[in-house]
Amino acid sequence: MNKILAIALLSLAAFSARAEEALTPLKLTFPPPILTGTPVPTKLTNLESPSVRPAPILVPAGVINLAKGKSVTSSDSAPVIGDLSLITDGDKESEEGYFVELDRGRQWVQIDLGISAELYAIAVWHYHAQSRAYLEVIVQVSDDPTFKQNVRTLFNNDDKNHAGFGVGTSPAYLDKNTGRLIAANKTVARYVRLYSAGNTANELNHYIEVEVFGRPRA
Amino acid sequence: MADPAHSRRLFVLLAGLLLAGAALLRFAQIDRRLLHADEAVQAYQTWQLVRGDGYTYDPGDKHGPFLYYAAAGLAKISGQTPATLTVAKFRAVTLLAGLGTLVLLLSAAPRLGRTPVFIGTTLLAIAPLAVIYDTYFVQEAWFSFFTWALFFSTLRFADRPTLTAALLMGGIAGLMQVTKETSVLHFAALGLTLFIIRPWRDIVRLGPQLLIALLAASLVYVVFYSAFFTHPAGLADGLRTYFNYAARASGGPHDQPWFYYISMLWPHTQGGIHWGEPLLLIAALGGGGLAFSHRANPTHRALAVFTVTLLLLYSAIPYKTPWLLLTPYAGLVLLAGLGAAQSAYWLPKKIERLAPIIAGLALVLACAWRAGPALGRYANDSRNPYLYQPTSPDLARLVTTLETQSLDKKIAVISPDHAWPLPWYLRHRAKVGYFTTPPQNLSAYDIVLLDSRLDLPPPAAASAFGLRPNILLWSAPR
Repeated sequence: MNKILAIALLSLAAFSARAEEALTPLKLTFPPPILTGTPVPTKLTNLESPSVRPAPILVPAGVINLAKGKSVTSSDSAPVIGDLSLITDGDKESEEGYFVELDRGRQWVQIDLGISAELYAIAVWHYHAQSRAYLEVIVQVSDDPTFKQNVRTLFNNDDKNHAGFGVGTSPAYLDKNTGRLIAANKTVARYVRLYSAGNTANELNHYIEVEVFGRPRA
Repeated sequence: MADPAHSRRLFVLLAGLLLAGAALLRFAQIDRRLLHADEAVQAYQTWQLVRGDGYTYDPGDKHGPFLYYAAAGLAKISGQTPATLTVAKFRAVTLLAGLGTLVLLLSAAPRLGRTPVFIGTTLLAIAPLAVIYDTYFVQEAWFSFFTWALFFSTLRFADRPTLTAALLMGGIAGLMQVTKETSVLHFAALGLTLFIIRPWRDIVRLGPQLLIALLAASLVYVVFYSAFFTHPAGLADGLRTYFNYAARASGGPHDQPWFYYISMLWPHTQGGIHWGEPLLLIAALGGGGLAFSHRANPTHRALAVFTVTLLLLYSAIPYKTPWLLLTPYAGLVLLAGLGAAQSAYWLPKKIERLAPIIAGLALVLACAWRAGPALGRYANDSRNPYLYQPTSPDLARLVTTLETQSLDKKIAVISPDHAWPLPWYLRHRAKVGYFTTPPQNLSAYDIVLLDSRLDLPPPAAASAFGLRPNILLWSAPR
């Protein structure tokens, strides 16, 4: 009986060791800050201060940026400035040639990761050469490229529910060179879709880069 | 050979169509932008005048009284009340001046030639700079109209120095001065033009008539600056403003390098968008050169000298905004029209007859190509070189949000400059306080709007709204 118990305990310990992988904080690389025009003081309490870094997101080994070089589609299929491939090309500078400009109103971009993956975090850079906040930012993931089934919302600051995805409780934030890091909580999905509806400076939508951190589902 | 009467009728028909098109384009743009901070200041002052609060000239930071009286007068004539005044109705006042300038240029056909005038006026009709500032409730559209009216009336006066011509010239000069104090720059440019195109002795002989013109201008000055004889101190204030203007013209937040206006029109990219009007510059340069050739007349020369002098004067002054280019720009398009009309001079002989049409069409298409983004997609964008510190379209969200709030709600606006154009949008509210620092009784206010330029902790549960480039307003209910 004791032998059986001992074997059972040893097996459980071995299983637990496999399950509890070593986690380390996800590290992002940031472009140099660029701000044209008058800088804006940013002492914010409820809206993240640019001087304070968000809480780290812990990820296991093997987690990589799955979005790098992946194909991007959009509600604006023919952007006037830049092209959609800039969103996953790895460059995060805010100058000309690094961002894509989408049309006015609510627009989305969608990244096909190519495989179903366990997602840990999504980082997004809209535009950081001017002090502005993008409006009604919503980040969703799904296994369905049409985003009709099994849609999960990871971030939503559309507090008036203009987009119809429910009242968003995520905070508004100022865009900066450190981007916005959004926890994905091991959600399994293949497609990532990001919405916005203009910004506080003009009616247009911009993306510099989107990174999706995860690992292929075993 | 074309029948002159037939040719004249065709010109009148085309001119009518052009004016109708220009009016339609401007009406379509009249609500395209939220009020600029400067427009809101003018609109607020006019609204007070219509409301019966009166008006006294402020030499500190305001322009002449003409725009306020013109807008208030038109509002009264058309049966408007303070409650029915809207942004579009204010902008319709400057739109009239914009159309008036187009009529003026077209009416210069006998002096400058029908083809140059038609090409030039078409360019001005669709030019983003003109369309934007003809629908901006600031002084510039009327100032440009009066300037070109003075230019042509002065040339007429120089040809036939009658009493009527002198009175007309003086009256227009007076209206220019009561519109904007910078009229002295335009007077100087016009004076220089006269001295270049006319012998000195001819001008000296006009002394008595010029004195009559000066009296007419002075009468207009007295009427407007004294607030129709109710505020005598305004007469001195109207002159005192030049000291303020001298201080403002040299050093300040609106200073730009000397090449600012040329760089606006020179090909360049701004935030990924391509801008510039190189064809216009080239054609204007050609027209300017031709103005001094044997094929040109004294009016062509006067146009070239006046335009270039205005451009040089405005470039020399550090204080620069895009709308100051409006008056010289009208000269540039006429010179470009002249350049295009005379393009057969350097184009192959085979296409001699078609050359003006080809050159004119190329100019108009290039201008329309530029007008598309400037008046459409980037109509409110700070990357649009024709705009200056535009109000963010996002402010409409805040205005809409505030409109849903009861008039009893107390609002505190904490901003270094009243967060214009907000006072216009909040004008019907009695319980709005404007502060540069938070008042001690801040907790007594229901809504706090905090300007992001102030180094202050924001209110709790704030929402961000765009005000101007790089400037946000934090709004928080308390």
